[in-house]
Amino acid sequence: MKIAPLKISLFVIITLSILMIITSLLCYKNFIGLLSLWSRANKMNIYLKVDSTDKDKTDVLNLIQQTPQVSSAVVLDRQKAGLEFQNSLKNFSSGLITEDEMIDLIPETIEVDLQSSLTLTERETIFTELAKKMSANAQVDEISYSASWLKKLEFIDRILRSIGASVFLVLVTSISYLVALMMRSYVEDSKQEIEVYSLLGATRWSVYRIFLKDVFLFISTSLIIAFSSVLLIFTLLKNKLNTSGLFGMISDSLHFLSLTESISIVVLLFLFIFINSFFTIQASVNKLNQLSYD
Amino acid sequence: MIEFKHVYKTYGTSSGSGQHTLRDVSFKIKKGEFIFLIGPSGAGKTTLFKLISAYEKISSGEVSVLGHNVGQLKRGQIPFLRRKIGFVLQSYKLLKNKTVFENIELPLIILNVNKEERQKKVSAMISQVGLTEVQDQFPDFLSGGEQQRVAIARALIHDPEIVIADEPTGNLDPELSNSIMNLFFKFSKSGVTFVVATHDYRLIKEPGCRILKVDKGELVEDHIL
Repeated sequence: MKIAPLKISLFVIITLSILMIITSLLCYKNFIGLLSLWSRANKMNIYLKVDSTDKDKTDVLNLIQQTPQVSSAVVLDRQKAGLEFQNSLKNFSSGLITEDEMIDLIPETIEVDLQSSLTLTERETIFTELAKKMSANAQVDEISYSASWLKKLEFIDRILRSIGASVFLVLVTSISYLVALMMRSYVEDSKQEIEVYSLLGATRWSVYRIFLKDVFLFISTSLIIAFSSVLLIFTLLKNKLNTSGLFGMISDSLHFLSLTESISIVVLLFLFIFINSFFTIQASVNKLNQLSYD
Repeated sequence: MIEFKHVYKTYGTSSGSGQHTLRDVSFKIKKGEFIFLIGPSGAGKTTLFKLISAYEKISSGEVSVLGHNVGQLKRGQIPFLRRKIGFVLQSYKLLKNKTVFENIELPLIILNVNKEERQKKVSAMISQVGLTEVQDQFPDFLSGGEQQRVAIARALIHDPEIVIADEPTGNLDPELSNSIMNLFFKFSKSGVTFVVATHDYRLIKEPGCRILKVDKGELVEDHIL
């Protein structure tokens, strides 16, 4: 085997591996982002008893505010809510119920929202705890926050994380194996070069350096190509979604990896592949230690 | 400079018994000497070279090269010993993806010599061995004699104290062999110690050369021509 095809194969393998990892992370980030978007729209409604006084309302509001993650707790206007509800039923029940009767049917409601930075799991946990605390209050009649949906989303998130971690492990193991395989062939193919360097008095480190220099170039170029490709495909896809009216809202919620996330991935992948390559080169070169000059 | 004291080299066999390649070999080589190491194929000439350059470990005895006890050298110290030796081998051992100039430059790169000095030294050496016209060519485009001259230039470029040449004319015709030997004699005048292994006795004609003859692993002759 010639060195040039080996180098090309090694380069392609590293680039594709990095591309797969970045794409997986980007997909996970945006999928969770979309789920969180729905969960952020979901607020908790606390219905007070019909005979509750203003003091009761203030007590309940104070109790809610004790949870630091609560971003807002708003008392809804009963009359406004009643009118809106009546309007929505006007065509079906015109004159059936009067305004006063309607308002009596609507309880005092406090709408609670949480900080937007919270994850799905955190939202679900805080809402559950808050609901438990509120249920114990004598003035609270009923609580609604789509608990079952939140639980389902939290479950999906957990499953995705587990699958993501497993896929990441499989990918990383495959990359290690492939990079090691290619590096071993590369070193084996450069046997004559290593022999000459050794004959001329090159230390083992200077022999490693010859290969590590190539690996460094491969990884750097692969990272640039992989990142640019993913960014390009992502931008094109987002634009396409944006122009199609149905998915316009979704496209606004899609985001590329942040600078911190990108730098972390680059550093992690670079270190991982570089260290893996180093140990393979070291083992392969040491294997050729009994050099022949015949 | 090089000293062998009762050196034995034994290779193990599959039956467990050892086979002596070198048997009680003792000699001393002084600085500036030109040595012809002669003997039939398989006599132990290459093994002797491998012991000098620490490619093989001795079974017993002591090998001392440039003040280093080779048997006691640590793995990390071996490259520094080899840097003081120039090697010329039958198979040339040139890098095919590097030009004549780059091949000759290699030992200086390993020794971290700066680029300017490298250029100066390599150009001078190329001119001395008569390779100026082919300095930008790759080894595959050169004749056997030219390739061996590149190997000689590479062996001498870093001013080694010893040059080891193992059958340097093995692949060359008599005329080219003579020109290679003349190059060796020319450089030996600068005080470099040459140890040339050959089984072509026709090459041994320079008066003052010392001849060491090995046969079946034993040193059987040691005289000056």
